Amino acid sequence: MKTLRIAAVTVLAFSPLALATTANAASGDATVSVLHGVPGATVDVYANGKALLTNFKPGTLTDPVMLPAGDYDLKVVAAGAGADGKAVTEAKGVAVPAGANITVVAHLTADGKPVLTPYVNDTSMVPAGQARLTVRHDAAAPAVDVRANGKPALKGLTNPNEAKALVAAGTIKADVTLAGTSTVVIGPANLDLKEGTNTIVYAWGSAADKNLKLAVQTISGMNSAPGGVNAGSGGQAAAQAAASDTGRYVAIAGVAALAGGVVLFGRRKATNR
Amino acid sequence: MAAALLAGAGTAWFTRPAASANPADGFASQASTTVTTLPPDDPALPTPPVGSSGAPNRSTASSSGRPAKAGVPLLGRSLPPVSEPSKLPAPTSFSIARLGITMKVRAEGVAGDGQMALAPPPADIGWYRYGPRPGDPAGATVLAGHLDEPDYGIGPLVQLTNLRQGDVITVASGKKAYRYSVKSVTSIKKTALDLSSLFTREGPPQLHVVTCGGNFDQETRHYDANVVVIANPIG
Repeated sequence: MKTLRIAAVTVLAFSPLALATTANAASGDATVSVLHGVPGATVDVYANGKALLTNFKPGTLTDPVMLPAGDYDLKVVAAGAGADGKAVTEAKGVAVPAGANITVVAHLTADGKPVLTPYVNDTSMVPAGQARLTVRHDAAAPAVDVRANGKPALKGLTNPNEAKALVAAGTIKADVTLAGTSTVVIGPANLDLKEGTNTIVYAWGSAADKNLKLAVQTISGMNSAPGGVNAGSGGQAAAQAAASDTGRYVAIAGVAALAGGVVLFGRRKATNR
Repeated sequence: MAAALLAGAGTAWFTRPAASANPADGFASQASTTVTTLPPDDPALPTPPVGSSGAPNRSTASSSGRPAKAGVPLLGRSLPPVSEPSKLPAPTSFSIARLGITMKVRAEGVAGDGQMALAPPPADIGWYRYGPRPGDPAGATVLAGHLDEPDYGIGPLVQLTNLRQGDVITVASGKKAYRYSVKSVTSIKKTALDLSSLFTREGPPQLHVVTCGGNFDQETRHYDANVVVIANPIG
């Protein structure tokens, strides 16, 4: 621990700018959120034998927390069953790397069995004016397409995979169809894709039980600046400035000529004498 | 006066270690402000890759899916509260009484070429609508307008270089008038402009007013510099 700290301080001392950009992600920690996407089961979640979440209801997403990086044994049990209770589902040795932003999702497989899937959220910078849209298939359902404003945006997505795209920031009307068809299975829903965010949409539930739903997670802070400010293509101001400079030179030249004239005049006067 | 303004600009960015007399240097790009090592761009893999490193972003549950929050997990350390996007009104009017300037403010985004979008009339000024609004607790409210345009001529912002430290700029937003005191006016070569500082959403609240300046290239029809005014909120 001590060496870790020293290492961190050294790094920060040599890159004060890095300090500013990573102030919320202390060295050695990962940002972890948990989504409950198994219909009908209120559960408790244990991490390495310790209670992480209790009375966790379907369709809920936790606030993100910072957890020390490492491997975690995650276990989901019926609410109140205790750390040694029968696992609804569990995942051993889930890697939580330092600095990563992870969402662990308890959901159904395509054929309806509870499972835990850890996803690494893409927190790379988003170009100015855009948003990243990520869609994750966590439902007991076949392959789907995701449509934005009626047009297929992400195609052929299968459980437990994700697809993502950079799109113009703004509100879209999204729905989910069976892959290659126009049979809507979820939605439509209005999604506010805020600039500089990763908006993550989870399709969860079960097609057979007719309880397919969407859950939405938004990660912000990946905004970047526009490429510049091009604020003048006329050139008139430059021309005017140049003209006023020329005017000044003409005036100076005029004064000089006048002075010369006086001298000349004086000389002439002198010769006339 | 120019020297005083340039010296002032040197201290304007919070990352600058010391005042600088070189205007190009005052806003010089600091590559490291935007560089962060991030998780690999790895679609469709449900297993977290190893060795990725973090970014300063925050996560919220929201929107149409509306998962109810489960609250704070029992393990781990909570993150600071998420700063919600501003609900303050967008700016509508920009004025500098001492220079007799009043301009309509238009909300602008990003143009096709990735630069800040700006409507042609130099009589209007654009507000970068993805950034902070007047009255927001952090970051720069960016207003930018054309110095000149073909068919329109020269706009009021040609006078920005006549601003003095302490001059008052007023930006009206909704029913409120936000007043700012000019801290610096600097001309910076576009190639040296630190755009992430210019458009920052962090740090103390400021007003950044931008137009063009420097030399005009008749072939590319572009100026080679930006004039940047930095002003601090009054009160």
